[in-house]
Amino acid sequence: MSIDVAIDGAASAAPSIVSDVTQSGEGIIFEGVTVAYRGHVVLEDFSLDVRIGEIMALIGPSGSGKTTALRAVAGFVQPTKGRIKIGNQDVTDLPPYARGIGMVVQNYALFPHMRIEDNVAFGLRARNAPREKIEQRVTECLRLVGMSKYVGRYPRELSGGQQQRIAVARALAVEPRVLLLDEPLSALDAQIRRQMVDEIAKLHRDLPGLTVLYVTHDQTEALTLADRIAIMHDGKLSSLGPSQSLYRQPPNRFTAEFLGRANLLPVRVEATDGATGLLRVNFAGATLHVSNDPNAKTGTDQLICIRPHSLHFAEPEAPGNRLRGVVKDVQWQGDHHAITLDCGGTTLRVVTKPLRDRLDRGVSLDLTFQPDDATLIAAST
Amino acid sequence: MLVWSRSGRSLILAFLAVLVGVVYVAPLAIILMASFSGEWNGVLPSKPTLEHFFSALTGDSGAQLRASIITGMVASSFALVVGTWSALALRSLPRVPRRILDLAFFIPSAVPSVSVGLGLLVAFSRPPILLNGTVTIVFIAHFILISAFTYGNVSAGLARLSPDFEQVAESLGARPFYRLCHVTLPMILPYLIAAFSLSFALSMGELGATVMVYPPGWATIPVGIFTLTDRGEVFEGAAMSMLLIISTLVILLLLSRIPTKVASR
Amino acid sequence: MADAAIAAPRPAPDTSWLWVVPPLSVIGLLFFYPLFLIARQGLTDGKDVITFEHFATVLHTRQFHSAMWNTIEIALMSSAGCVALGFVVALILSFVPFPGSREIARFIDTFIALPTFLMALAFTFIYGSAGVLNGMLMDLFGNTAPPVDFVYSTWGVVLAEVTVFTPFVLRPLLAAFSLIDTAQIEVASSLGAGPWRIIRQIIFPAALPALLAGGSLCLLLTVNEFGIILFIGAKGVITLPLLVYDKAIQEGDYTPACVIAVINVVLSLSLYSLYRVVIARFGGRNAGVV
Repeated sequence: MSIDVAIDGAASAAPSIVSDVTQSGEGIIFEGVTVAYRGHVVLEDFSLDVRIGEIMALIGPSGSGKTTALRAVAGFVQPTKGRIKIGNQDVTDLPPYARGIGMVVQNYALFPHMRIEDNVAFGLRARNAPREKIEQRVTECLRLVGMSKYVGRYPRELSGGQQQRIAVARALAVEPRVLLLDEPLSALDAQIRRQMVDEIAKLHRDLPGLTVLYVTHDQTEALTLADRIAIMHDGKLSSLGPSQSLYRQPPNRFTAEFLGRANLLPVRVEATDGATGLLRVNFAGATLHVSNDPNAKTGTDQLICIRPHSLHFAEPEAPGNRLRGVVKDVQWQGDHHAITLDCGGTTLRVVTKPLRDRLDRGVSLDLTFQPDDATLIAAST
Repeated sequence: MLVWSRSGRSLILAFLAVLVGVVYVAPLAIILMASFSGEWNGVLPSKPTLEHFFSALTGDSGAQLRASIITGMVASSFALVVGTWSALALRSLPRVPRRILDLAFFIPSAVPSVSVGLGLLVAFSRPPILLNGTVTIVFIAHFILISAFTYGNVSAGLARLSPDFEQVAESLGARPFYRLCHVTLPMILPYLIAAFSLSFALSMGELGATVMVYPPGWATIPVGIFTLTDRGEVFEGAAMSMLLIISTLVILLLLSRIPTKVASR
Repeated sequence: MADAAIAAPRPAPDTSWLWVVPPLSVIGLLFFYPLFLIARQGLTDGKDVITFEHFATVLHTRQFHSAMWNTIEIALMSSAGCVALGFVVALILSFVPFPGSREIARFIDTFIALPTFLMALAFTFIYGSAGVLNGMLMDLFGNTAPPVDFVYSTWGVVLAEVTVFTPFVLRPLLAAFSLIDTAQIEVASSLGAGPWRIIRQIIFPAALPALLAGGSLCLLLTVNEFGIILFIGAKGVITLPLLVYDKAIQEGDYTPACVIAVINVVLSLSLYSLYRVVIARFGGRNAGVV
């Protein structure tokens, strides 16, 4: 299945300078990897297929095992069970320096006693590459990250964002089969972070064959950059899929609540409406129509997930789903208003464009949503 | 911030000045003055002269200065190599053996120096290893006494080195020895220098073991100072003391100037 | 899935622990082996049979008793002095800030690198019978004999050792004090606490680990101290290390020297264990480099 990366039209229209040094990457396969330290299981029976040329984001709360999974690919963590493969090669018992990987860490770890050019050249020198090749690669990779001017400087003379770019150049210089990014932007200021996300996206376009495993706890980074997202929870894979699908139709409760904020309404499944093809459910006495889910069993109790920005104020007398709630809190947050309502015992969160008129607590409101914007989730996940 | 009134502060600071002055400054000043004095009959010395320094730099005393510096350099270099090797080797051990060996490497500094000297005499006074009466036994004695300090310093430096650097180096393709030479050692260079400096200073001042094992012709400065003061030649002893302090400080200063390019955190 | 595993190389056995063998052998040969030989000479007769008669002989001498007693007395007094002086100086340097406090701390710190016997030498110059203090007093009051002669007694040794070993208490104390949030003290003052109360209830508990660590380190260092005792050279003040030296070098009597050395080493190692236990329980590392 070819990678279907959603780049907005404007960016893809402009010709991107594809690197003339081809990166032919390989995929990563986790086969039932379990990692345990002194009886404490950090990663449990983890299986994942990262395809060639895709950016796979591993996200999850602290302790979910995402960093352990990445370090297992790098070779700094030994699996207690299971195998890890890069391409067709089983690397589980190979030392890190023999795996052909490139790694970028949160604190850049640029060697402070070497100039930038020596930092970037480090991997090639360690592998005894010929001098001309080293010079060529260093120049090329620095150009790729836009840091050619800083060749003779020392790391301490650079800002955080600049250091991270050098770290990326250093990792790319060795022509890695896979690129491992371990929370690469967490140590940067918010503004620099946004810029770096764009740069990483551009890098991915310039090096289409490079496989990237990207660990982060920041959902925005994951949603922006990743082709597919793997959500981890308590050492296990909770859900996996293209970013947009996971966001729009979360497969389970943890994904719904972790990826973006979610309103979860407890409903009872009634029946599929023959005419519209929509599923009828009952929420606190009201009948709602949501998108059909073939796995829904009549009479069961489930949850429906509606994102806060999918709830709108309902026009009086308009048809469609209608929820009545009492306003509990209104917060203005600059470019949007966040309104919390109580709806039949369930708390709902609505995000709207900034309101012109005041909205008081205690006011009763009607909300509506499109059936497509509501996903059925099993209550027990 | 404990004392708010100005008079209170002045009183306390005056007290501190007297305390530090009497306890720490006066002894140093006295030795300095004594090293220049020709005579000391009254309260203060008189007849300032440089002859003590001249005799301290020549003849027997000059030989002792040479012996001290050479011993310091040899013992400290050896201690640095062994200490660094041990600190690096211990990192890859599991917890329990590592703690036991850590203790083993520190114990030589916990034991009285005289006993170390006695032990070397007893152990190496007969074949197959006969070192009694050689210069080597002095080197060994100093080495043993300072090895724990180099080990401690280098261990502390390694502990402060973020594992990120070595791991990234390894991920880039560096084999362990390459990584050691190009990443680990350069990054702990400040600690290596500090360890060498401390070892050198301790070796220059070492007395307890040296006095047990030194062969004639290889007395060190501390031994020389003792012999002089025991004989009553206190001024020359003071001059030698000043030389000891100065030479130690000079070498420490030179070592601190070695560029390390590693920003100290 | 299983067939993929056939291609995997077998993991090599982890031999990285072998690297510790060379340095360990060096230390073993040059330190532990001689120590073992000392013990052997003190505890066995000529035919390698364990006997305590050498110990009995030595332990019954007055020389040994007096040396043992002196060692312990001096160690306790010096350590107490170091702790007291170190606490006072650290208190003033940290909490009565003035320009130059850092320089004074570093000045005192450099004494760690200097040999201890220099202090004894300086003491004889200042407090000795022909020294400055006596000279001044004799001039002022016209005594015929030098009035101050504490230098040639236990007191002289103790004062010299306090001077020399206080930096080992000062350093961790300054480190501990720098970690105290000054806001705590300011709030306490604003609530009405006077300086003594603040010292007792805020500063002292924070200082306790460093005091314990520094104090136990001083115990160890003073028990091992040789240079100061040798230089002061007072007849009644002989400690265990000096006794070992006298027996071995002055008298050439190696077996009693070994016995006393064994006792000295056991005492030192016990104090070192105490120091390590204190550090492990209470923190306060940074007392020295040991």
